[in-house]
Amino acid sequence: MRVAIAIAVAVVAAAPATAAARGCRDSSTTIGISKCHHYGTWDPGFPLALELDLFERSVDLGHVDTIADSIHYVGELGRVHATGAMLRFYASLSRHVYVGLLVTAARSADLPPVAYENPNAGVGFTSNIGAVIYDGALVGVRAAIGRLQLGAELSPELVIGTPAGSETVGELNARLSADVWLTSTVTIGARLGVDVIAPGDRTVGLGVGVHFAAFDGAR
Amino acid sequence: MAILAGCIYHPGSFEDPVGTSFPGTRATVGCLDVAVAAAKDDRATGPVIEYSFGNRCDHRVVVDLRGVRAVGRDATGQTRELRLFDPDAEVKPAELDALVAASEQLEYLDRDGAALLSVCVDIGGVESDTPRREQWICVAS
Repeated sequence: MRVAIAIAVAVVAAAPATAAARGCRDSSTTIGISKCHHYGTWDPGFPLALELDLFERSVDLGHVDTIADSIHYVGELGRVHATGAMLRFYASLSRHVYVGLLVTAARSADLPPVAYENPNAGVGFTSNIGAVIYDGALVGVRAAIGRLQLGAELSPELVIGTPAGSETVGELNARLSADVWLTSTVTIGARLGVDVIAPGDRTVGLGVGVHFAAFDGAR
Repeated sequence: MAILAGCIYHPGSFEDPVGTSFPGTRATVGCLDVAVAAAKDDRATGPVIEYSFGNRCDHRVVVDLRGVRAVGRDATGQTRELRLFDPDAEVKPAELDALVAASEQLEYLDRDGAALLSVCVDIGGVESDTPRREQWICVAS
């Protein structure tokens, strides 16, 4: 969570700041007279964006052997397929570079049962892991061809199986994206991702984005 | 969505993103909506002109205020050529992103420091991608 907050602060700080906001004050804004205002520092607005993707993902959760809240989770989860929603929040650092955060919740219908052992009660039982949560950061580059925008991004992520965080996997996802600007502030797009560490883990998603600056300040 | 809509320049609105109207006389040159007004600056010795402009297009354009020709009219009715006050050579062609609004205040000087009743500027070449065609706007100074 601290990492997420730090990145969020960095994202907001990346937004352009006016001279006044930077602490420079001057009674004049005339070029050649003002000490604060310089010609051509034209504020494009906040280049922030919010995107919601629906996706399908395969991920290898491997072997579970962990204790949480006095319950011993043991089992072989292996590769699971999950569908879910990914919320992406990012800021443009330049016309071609952006950074951000993503939070995802996914659910899998095909997770195998995991053995639960409670040593205190001396009983064992099994249940299915119902959800897989992903959190991560992202950094990407992009280029526009007319209304089409192509991008590539890297995203370190933490994949957490529930309940009780019974399995956690670190991933480094590489994604390619193609978005179309429907208006100056709305995009729809598709994303194809693969885990660089475990290349068998793939993500396919479709999404819609809203943008606080026209064309993210990239046009 | 209303917040998003408020962050961009709306073509033809002649308003900045917070809804403040561009002051002065309005014109459109290529992709640029432009307004020209006389501005007050107690530290200026010559007339100060405020240029407000918004990019109507969905691509960036080059704004060239250095190329704007300015003349003044004195009390005798004589037209006098003015030069841009730009001691640090800051004013040069610069890119304005798609659907972004901005403004600049520029001071103009008469060679003899004559008192001027009005100032006229030719903004016909303010958008570099549009062929230059004289388009004069006059304001009382």
